[in-house]
Amino acid sequence: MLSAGWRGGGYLVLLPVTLGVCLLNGSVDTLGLLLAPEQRDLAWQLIGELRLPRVMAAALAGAALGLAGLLLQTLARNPLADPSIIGINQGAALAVVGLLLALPAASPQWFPLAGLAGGVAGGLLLWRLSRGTSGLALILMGIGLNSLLSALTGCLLILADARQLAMVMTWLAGSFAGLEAEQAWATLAWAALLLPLGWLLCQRLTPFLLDALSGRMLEPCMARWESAGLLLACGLGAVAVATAGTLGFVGLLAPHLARLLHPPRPGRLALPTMAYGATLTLLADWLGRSLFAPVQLPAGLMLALLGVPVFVALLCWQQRLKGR
Amino acid sequence: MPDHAIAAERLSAGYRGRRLLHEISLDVPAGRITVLLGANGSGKSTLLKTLAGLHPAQGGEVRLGGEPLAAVTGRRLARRLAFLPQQPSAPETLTVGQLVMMGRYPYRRLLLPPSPDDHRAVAEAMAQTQVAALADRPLGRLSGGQRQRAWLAMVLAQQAEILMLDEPTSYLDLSHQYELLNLLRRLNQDRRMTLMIVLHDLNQAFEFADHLVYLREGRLVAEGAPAETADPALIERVFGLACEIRPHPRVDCPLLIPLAGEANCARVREVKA
Repeated sequence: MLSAGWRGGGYLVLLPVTLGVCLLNGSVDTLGLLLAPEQRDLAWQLIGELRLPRVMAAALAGAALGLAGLLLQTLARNPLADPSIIGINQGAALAVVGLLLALPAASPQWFPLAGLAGGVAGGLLLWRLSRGTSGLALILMGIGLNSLLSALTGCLLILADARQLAMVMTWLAGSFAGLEAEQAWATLAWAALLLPLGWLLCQRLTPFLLDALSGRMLEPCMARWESAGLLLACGLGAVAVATAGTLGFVGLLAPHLARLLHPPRPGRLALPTMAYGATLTLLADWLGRSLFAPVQLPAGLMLALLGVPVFVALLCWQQRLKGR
Repeated sequence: MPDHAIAAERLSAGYRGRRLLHEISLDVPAGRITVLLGANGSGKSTLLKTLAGLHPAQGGEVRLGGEPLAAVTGRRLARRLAFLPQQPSAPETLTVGQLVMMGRYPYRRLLLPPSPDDHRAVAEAMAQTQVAALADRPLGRLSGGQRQRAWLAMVLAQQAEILMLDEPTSYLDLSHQYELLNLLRRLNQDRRMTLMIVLHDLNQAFEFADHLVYLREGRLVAEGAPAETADPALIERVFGLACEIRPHPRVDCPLLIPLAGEANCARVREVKA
């Protein structure tokens, strides 16, 4: 009983520890500066002005992606669903590359806005196409839409010139490196609105655990909650895209981690999923900026490098548990 | 309260371009067990789903205790009518207790913990279906019979007066089929529930039903008590099955002996020759 309680509350310890490490550690060892009294002001300045916005944005983007993944997996009744599957990431990528080609002089500050528009458009298109179909149809259509959008992006990338290409590639890989403080505050504002809404909605989605008939019998308005959930997942994914470009894999991995340690009801999974999403993204960003400093590896790449082995191990473990 | 729990009047349903139910008029007696019979594809499941509001009607009307079904909106319907589909599914990691508590969803308030009423209904449902000892076990580690009883406890926790079951015996072995049917009979007597069940086995239908409804190609062919309707000509018409009906030697109900086996057909030919 004690061990179950410890496992269930583990994320409450994990997240603050990760936050602390990411704030205090990096290419400059701030802990050492803090301990030396004469340099304390410098250290606080470094943490408050440089690291805090970045760490906050990474945590919120990760939490948003995790929650979006949980919503999509619950609504589609399929553990494969993820924000990059409903066309958000690819829609955003296409919009950014398109902007760059149409207006070569556009500064990178406009990337998030274009990404947001493209991501929401991609998500809404899929939502419109898949209304009234099954969860599996949503995923298949999402995979199809994704392939189409990434093919279009590939075509456009060939036309871009080399200098712009490097900039776009960093953005596509998902990075917190060039983050401005205002952008981080905008992320905070959106997350403060959408994350609680998502948590509330999850409390309503319990009937989606059951087959469609049993679920509809318990909750006749399921179609309404489905639309609300898809739109919210779209918004959450777009917040992450606007903050850091296209980050893959958190939305898939975070709900799976949460399900391993918590009861499968979405209402109970929402908080742990957000915490795991935030922790994963923070770790990826921290490793990306400290491993090969001063070179900064994009968090999105680190997430794939870190996340895929974790995910494979998770699946193997689940299979073994089932076999017993 | 009217003596029928649910009634259909000239009810039609189906999909675009294909009609599965043709103008069915039907009174389901309250507090009784009604069994729907018919060959595969005769519209039994569609009729059950349409009566439960899970499938849109194309014409006609369904009335729930005198009230039009369309007027019973939202969670009020789930408190009056429970439905167990043919292949219910839930995550394998969900425990029996958690599954049964989901039956209280139509009564729960957002963000509030389960009320004493909820706990009482869940405990009662689990006791009646004998799954109380399995409350903490995940669904993935249940046998077929235990799993079906857990689902039954879930729909019982809804405390609805009408319970519909779509082929609840199809994945159980014969002894578990009878265990489930006995349980349903007890529930019908103890709780005075109205039961509507789709069954394939005619002898089980004759033994456990108060009221039989025969469907053929989406049309109502006959309805009535087993003793009145168990007739070889009707069975032949509904199922295309040659049979003989005799009184059951031990129970007060008809007993059907199928005569469709090849061995029997050969003997009939011999006798005729």
